[in-house]
Amino acid sequence: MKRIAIFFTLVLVLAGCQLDNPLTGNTDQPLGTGAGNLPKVVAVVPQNRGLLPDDNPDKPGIQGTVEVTFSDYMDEAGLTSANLTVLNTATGEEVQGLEIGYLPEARKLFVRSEEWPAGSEFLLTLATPGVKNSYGTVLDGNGNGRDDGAPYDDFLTTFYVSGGNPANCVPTKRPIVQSISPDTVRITQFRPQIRIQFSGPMDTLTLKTADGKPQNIQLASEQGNAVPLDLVTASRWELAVVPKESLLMGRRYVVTLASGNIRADYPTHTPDYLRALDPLGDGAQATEPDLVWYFALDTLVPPRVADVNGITDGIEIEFTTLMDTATLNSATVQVYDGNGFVPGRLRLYRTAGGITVVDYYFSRQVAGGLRVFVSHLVSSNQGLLLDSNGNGIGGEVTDDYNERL
Amino acid sequence: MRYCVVLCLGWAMAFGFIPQSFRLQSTAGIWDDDYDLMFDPARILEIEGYRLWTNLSNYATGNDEQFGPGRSNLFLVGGSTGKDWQVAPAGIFDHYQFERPLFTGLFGPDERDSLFGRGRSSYAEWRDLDSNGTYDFKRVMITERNAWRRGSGDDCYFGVGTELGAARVGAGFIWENGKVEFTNPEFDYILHNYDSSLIAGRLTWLHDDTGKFRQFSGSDAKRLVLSGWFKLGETWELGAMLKPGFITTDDRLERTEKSRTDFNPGVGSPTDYEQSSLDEWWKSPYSGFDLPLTVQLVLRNDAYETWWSLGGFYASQRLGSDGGGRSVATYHRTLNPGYTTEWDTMIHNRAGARSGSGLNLGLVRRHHLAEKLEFGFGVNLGLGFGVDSLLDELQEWERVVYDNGDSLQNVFDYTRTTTSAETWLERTTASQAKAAVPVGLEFRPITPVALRLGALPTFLWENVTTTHQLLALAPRKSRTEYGDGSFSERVDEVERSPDSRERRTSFTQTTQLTYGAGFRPVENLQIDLMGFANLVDLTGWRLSATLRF
Repeated sequence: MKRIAIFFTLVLVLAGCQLDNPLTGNTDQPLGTGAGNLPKVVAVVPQNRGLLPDDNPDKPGIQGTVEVTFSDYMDEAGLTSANLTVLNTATGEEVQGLEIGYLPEARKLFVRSEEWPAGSEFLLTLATPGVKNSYGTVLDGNGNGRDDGAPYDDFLTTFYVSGGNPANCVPTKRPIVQSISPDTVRITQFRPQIRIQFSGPMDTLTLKTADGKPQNIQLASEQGNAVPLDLVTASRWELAVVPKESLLMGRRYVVTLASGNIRADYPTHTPDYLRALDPLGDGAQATEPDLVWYFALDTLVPPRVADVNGITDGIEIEFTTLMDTATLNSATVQVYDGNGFVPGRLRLYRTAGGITVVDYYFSRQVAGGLRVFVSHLVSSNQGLLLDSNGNGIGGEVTDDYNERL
Repeated sequence: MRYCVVLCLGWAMAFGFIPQSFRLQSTAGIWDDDYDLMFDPARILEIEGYRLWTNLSNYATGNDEQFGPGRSNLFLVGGSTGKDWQVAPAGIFDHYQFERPLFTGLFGPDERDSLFGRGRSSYAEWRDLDSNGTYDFKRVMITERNAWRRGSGDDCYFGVGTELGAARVGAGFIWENGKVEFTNPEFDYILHNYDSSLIAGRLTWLHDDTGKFRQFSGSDAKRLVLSGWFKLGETWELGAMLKPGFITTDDRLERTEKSRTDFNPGVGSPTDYEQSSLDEWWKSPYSGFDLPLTVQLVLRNDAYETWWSLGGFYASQRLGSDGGGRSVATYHRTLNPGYTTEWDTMIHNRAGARSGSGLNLGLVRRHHLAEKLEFGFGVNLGLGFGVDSLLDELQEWERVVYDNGDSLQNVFDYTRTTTSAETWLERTTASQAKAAVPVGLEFRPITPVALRLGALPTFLWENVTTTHQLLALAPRKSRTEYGDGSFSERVDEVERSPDSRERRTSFTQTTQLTYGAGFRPVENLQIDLMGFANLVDLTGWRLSATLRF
């Protein structure tokens, strides 16, 4: 008996010395956390789709504890079975007899069962608005920094036990758009293939009609004229379409993906609201916007600022093409220093040999580093607006040249 | 030193005219004069004949130097009747007003030319930036600053006394009013600065800055004087005087600033400027009353007089409901692209009260020792207590708006609101015990000359305790709302000393020695002198001339 007591004492001492000691509170909460901030889950053990080990192999059945760590001190009253469920996604049955404990000092929630059903996968749900921090602020379960309401801000995590398979764990997020093409660039193909790749798997019936035509995707000219599309591919991971007819050179085209109608093909016991597409990848919300982007069809290359160099009492700006010099004026070409705007005089230095060079002579002494601003509204002699972001399309709001020397 | 204010509330307010004759001053308060009788209206009847006090009487401050540079520059006139009148009036009035220009901190073309009052100076600088032998840059700085001290005041006393049977009674009224206004050149200014390119023929930088600053301090006291003396037999007399007063003080500070710097002046595009403003005021208006009461018992015979006195006072003042301060600062800066705007508001709501009470026991014994010598001494014991408390509720609200100008509302654009609040209590309690043993004599070596000497040993115990307490603290919390709809909140670290206490006890022993002289060259003129220690240098002499009829 005495030896057993010594043994357990040693076990307890060693447990108390471990790095992440559950017996002592972790009070390293970042400064300023709290108040009205939305609390989040910052860690979960086992991690999503992880194995929950049997922590007492000597005992029949599977015993294990899921550990959820919050970013904030939580209201213990909300951490009850009313707001916490564990679904056996293999059977669709809710796990009963959970032991739920919260250690406020460590901001940790413990969910334990003495008899996890073997060979199963589970979905743990912390439901909003019941789960709140001690200030009454609801949980931001999807971690997007916004209060999206229930059930979109429910926290979801999955795990499996011995005999289960991580591949059978249900998804915990909505499918997102992983890539699009052509993505806001200039192209030269008259009939470009428009491709959207999803994190999937998607329900192909929401991507194409029964007679094999693309649906929930639209192509239109910038003026709003719809362009008919042919389906190339509509798989669980990708949608590809192509215009029925050649597009017109020198035009912009807008692609619209009707996100609200596109759904995932998720396993049976996945929460239904997760099946909707999250086109921007910013977490589930009640209303997801359509995904809209554009591209331009053109062989002409828009102008760019090739170089900016200092000269005596001024700077010299060199463009890659011949410019419409009427668009180069005090409203579109400006220089700033540490004190603000530097008044100056523009002088056309050269507009020949395929390029335009303008000098900007300062009207005052400059102090501090210089910043050169060239508006996206300056245009080449062919009428193409400035392209500073390098996507081949000029005149976008992100095409201002705004660089420090 | 606020406790001093508390303790002094119950005692006589500072007069524009001094309520003590030269005789009383130079004999350590033992031997009084007709002038002193006037301030006890029931004793006006004791004045024999008429008196006329003008600026020659030197009762404005008592420190005017007839032959030296010391001047108070007050206008003063007063007079009294006496026992020839059934109802004897007496009164005194002074008035002062001044407007003094102060140094503005500016200089004229020659740095020895200091500019006072409203000063304006300009500075111009021409530069040849490219060293080509021609000026191509000009900088002009025009500065105007105001520096003034202005003030005015009136002090008035009027009393009447009469006999009612065996009693003499009197009533009087004192009104004291004064204000001082200070215009600080550091904060009251106009700046107009600009740079220009002499080549481009245009302004390249323009800065306008205007500040207004006014510091005001005023006080007003109205006091009723009621006194009476009652004969208790042949040698005893009982007197009492009550002087209830209503007192208001007002301290204010008003300050505004507006500043704008235009980095592209006179041209529409691009608009690039920075501007800020400040609107600040502080008010500390106190009003209240004090109630001094003195009872005196006098025993007179041919050889001596004995005066017993028992006095007490209670005073109370409260801070007006508009006491406190407010400061609103704004800042706006174009960033091209984008802008930032800031607001910062601080509000101090204050509530305060001051009160004081005291008790005084006195004994003066005057002896007519010989035909030409009069000697007196006294004992004076006093106790005083005062409390001054001020509750300051501070609220701060700050907002910063930043837009990076890309026409998109996203995580790079934000509005940050910061709030904080604190409540502080400052409380001062003071107690004072005082003992004085004055002695004074008047010696007349030849008629009509009188030489006076006095000594006033004083023992003063003081105990002052000041505490500052942080009563409440709301966290300094900032909430940042980003353009994409997300937000974050933060509670900043706050460091304060929430509790401090200071206790000062002191014991001071002083002996003030006084001297003076008086003579009457003719029947109608009484001349009193003080400050004539240096007999060959008349500069420091203080002289008082009273006309008698």
